[in-house]
Amino acid sequence: MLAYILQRLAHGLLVLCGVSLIVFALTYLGGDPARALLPLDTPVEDVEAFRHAAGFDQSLPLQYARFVARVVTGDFGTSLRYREPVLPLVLARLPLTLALALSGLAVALLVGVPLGISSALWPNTWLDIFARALMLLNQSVPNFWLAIVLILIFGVTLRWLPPSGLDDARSLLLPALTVGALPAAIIARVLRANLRDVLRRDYVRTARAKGLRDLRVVWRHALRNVLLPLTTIVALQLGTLLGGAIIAEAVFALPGLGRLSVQAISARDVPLIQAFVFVSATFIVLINLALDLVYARLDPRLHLS
Amino acid sequence: MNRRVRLQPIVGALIVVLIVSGATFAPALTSRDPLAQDLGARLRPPALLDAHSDFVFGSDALGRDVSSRLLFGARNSLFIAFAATLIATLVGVSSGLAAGYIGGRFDALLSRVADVQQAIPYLILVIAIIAVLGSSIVNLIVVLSLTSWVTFFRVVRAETLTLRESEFVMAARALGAAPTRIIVRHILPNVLASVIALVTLLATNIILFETSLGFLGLGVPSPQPSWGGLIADGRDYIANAWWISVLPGAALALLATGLHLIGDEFV
Amino acid sequence: MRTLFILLFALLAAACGTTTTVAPSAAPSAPASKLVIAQTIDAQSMDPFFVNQVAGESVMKMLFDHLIERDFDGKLVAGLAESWNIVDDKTLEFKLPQGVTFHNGEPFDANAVKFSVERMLNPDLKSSFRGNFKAIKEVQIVSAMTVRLILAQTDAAVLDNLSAQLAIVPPQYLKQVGDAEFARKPIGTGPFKFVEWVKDDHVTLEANRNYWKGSFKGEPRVHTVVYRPIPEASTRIAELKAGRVDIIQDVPPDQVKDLQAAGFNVVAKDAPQEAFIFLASDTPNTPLADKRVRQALNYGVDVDSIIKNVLQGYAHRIASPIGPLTLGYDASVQPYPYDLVKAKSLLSDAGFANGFDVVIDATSSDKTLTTEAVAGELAKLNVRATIRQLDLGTFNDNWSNKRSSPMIAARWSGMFDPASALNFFAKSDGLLTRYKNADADRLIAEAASTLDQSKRAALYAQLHKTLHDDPLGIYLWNTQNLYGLSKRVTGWRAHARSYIAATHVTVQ
Repeated sequence: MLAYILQRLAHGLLVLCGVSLIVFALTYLGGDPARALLPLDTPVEDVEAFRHAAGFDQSLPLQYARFVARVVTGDFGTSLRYREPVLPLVLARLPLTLALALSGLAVALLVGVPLGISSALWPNTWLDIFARALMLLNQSVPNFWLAIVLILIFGVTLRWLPPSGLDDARSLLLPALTVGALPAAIIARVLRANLRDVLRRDYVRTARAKGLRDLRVVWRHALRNVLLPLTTIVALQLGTLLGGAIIAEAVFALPGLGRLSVQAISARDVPLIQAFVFVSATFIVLINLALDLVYARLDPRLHLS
Repeated sequence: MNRRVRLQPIVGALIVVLIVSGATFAPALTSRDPLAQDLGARLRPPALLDAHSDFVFGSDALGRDVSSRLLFGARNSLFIAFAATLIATLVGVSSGLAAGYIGGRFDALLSRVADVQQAIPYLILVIAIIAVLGSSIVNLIVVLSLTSWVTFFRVVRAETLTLRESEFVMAARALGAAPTRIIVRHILPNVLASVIALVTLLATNIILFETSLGFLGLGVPSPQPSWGGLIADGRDYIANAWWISVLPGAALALLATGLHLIGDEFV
Repeated sequence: MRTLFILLFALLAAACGTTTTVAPSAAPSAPASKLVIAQTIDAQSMDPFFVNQVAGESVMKMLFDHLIERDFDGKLVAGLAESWNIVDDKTLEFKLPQGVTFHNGEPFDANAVKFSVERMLNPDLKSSFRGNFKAIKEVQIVSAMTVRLILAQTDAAVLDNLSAQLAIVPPQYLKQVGDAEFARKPIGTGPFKFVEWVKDDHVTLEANRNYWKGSFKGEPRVHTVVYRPIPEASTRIAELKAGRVDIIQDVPPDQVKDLQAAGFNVVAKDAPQEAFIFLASDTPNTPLADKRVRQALNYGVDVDSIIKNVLQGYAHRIASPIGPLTLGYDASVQPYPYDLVKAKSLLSDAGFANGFDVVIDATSSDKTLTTEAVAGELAKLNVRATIRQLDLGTFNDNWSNKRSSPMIAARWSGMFDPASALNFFAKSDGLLTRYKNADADRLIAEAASTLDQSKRAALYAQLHKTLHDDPLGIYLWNTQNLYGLSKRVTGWRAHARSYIAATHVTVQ
């Protein structure tokens, strides 16, 4: 097990190295970085001086090495917009976006799992049709549109929840629904397909024939077998969750990472974009690592590989 | 399974064919130019709801005909979805087959590339690329396929790994069949079902993604219509002119239903 | 630099009116009263020397004061200088009032002015406004309450820039805490004091009960004011309707009637923000290089119909970049009438009877509805326009490096005085200029070389005519700002510079 963990850790580090290459490439996103970092009316000789001081006149491998050396010490540079070190700026926004993504995931699981199970257990009943219709709806409603409709219904007409902003935990409810809707549909679909497959297998049929109650069969035999694909699909939804958070933060006016990074792109705040990409990549790698370990517990065969 | 279920993919295919032919024959189906504006006839409701309106599906904020924008928009949206899905499928499936079959360092390398790709928050990457390059249909296709190939890669690779050790592949190898032949003849047909299921899922996602970009001002360049663009533009009018965004949304839901019914057959 | 908005708010000197608007004093409302204002974006910084967008300016104007100010209608009035005097073309003298203090009790005097100007000019600070004050050679302290600005060369823009971009900051405090800490805990002389800033969430300010008498801004009448950035228009409206926000910025014209019907007040305010589609005429052998084509495009767009229908009437037609609120405006120069026949004949004279394809650059942060409307009008001339949306950085970069598309959709704000704007886009060597007209060059240079406002107004009036006849863009309109107000709010006034002030207002 320890060897396995070490191996996964090494993989994670390797991935982060790859990410650092892409993040470094972002320096050149807007063409000449020296020009991008200085006011438009800066004289040519000042630009040259700056280019030299910042090391932009060195060879790319050398620049990359220096970049990595900085990043390892947590120094991503200074934000052009805020004129503050970028890493604390990004880390300050992390909790909210994380809370948003996690509550979105909670919604996705709370909605998606029962939907998928009921739809697979009782195919072609009204319940199945309803479940599938809901999946399709979730899958074809753009999240910003859903967000606005939720605000109009729960924030304005019913006044049950605050339309936007961050007052208390209730403020996260509508954004979480927005973020979770699409992953819920995908989770339900995958779960339904896998479960139906398992239910067709002999041992489950036998169990059912023996008169075991449906839900018990599902619990005892079927669900265990679909946990693995479920973990995979959850891992694949991380990007969707983060993307959803970016949109939700814009519509619900939440001060999270998504808004920070979208504005950074608009302002060409390259150091900020770099720190954001690197921090979120690290998070995704860590989560994947955790999921790998969950895998290893669920599927003992993996130990051998 | 009983025979009634078999009806589903046929219904699904019919829906998809209907939408695709609507897009293909758009010029014949509507006499109205999707770009022609009539500022005196803005925000007219669909004709069914208002006897004074001569727009079947209503008009938008510039007095353009929503039904014709919907039909012509389908051309752009379906083309983008089709092209991006095709590229993602080709790249993802071939790399997945190769990585799974060859294995070893080659597999490790491709898998790490896929890991890196998955670790990057792709919406931000797409926004950054489109924001700098400017939005065009070609740029959209490139970035959308770039973000989608990994899913195919992962699924196909995993299935290939299993199939590689299966008896019939072993037998073929023992008989001296060339690797390409084994891949094409024995492995590809067996992963096809999962690929088709994924394709049906992805195509809708790509249109949805295009919608998100439209929301951020980076979708299909206006005034060209696209479903994503229509929904994004209509969001300010949800309360007083719902048809601008709801009807394209319904069209997207219909397409999703069609694809879902087909895809279900292969899951 | 790369933000268009710096350019947009670059202001110049203007009429030397010395009238002071004295705010009628009324009893402050209950001490706990709170005013919540929803703007479209957040401030960029709490250091006034780095704030160049309207949203941040709202906060800065409440925390800080300037030597001279624009009043609510855009007229130059006394600010922290109770009077000023143009000694000669290169010397400006300011008399300062006694007894004004910063929020921390530090006294305001000539030294604070000198310190603020020198801080602005310090190249190491890298203020985005530094370029606008380069003409200042030195600051002379004549007495504790009299200060002179000595210019290296005459610059008609300086007075106007002083009113917009040079907030007076406290020298002792800044020397003590440094720039970074100052940006975290800003201290000024303004009607409100800083409480907290949670980036992208809110800025909270608290009334300064010792605010000096005589400012046009008037006294604070609410205890607390909160500025919230809410980018989506529908979310801002939802918050207003839910009663959680008192004033919202940028009501979409199509939502005005709904809001009014729901019992909210909508305030429309004229502001000198000119919308036009720039036409790049600097590439030889392209359609736009031909003056007749540029005229044809102006004839061929039914601007009045767009204003009436799409903007619901909340805009005024303009005939050149010099709009009705800008120095040098001459009402006798009429906008191009809508004349499709004339437009088509001009196009065919120029050899483009079958029209041409063209791309319009726009920023991704602005909605393209009105630009699409213009494109829809151009289609009637067979001019087939596609809109290319780019992020603000790329948009500005392309523009200033002459790499933009032939048409550029832009809105130029704060044009009370046209000098700096014209330097940017009309003078043939301007940073953004893609147009050449010898008469225009001569008039712009002449107008910049004097501080005599009536002479400048006459020169700009001529320029108004020149730029109308040989258009550098499709001249559209002067946009009105639309604000939504809850019924609880009374006494609020919209400002012609588009920022949202929190003085004068009471909340029930």
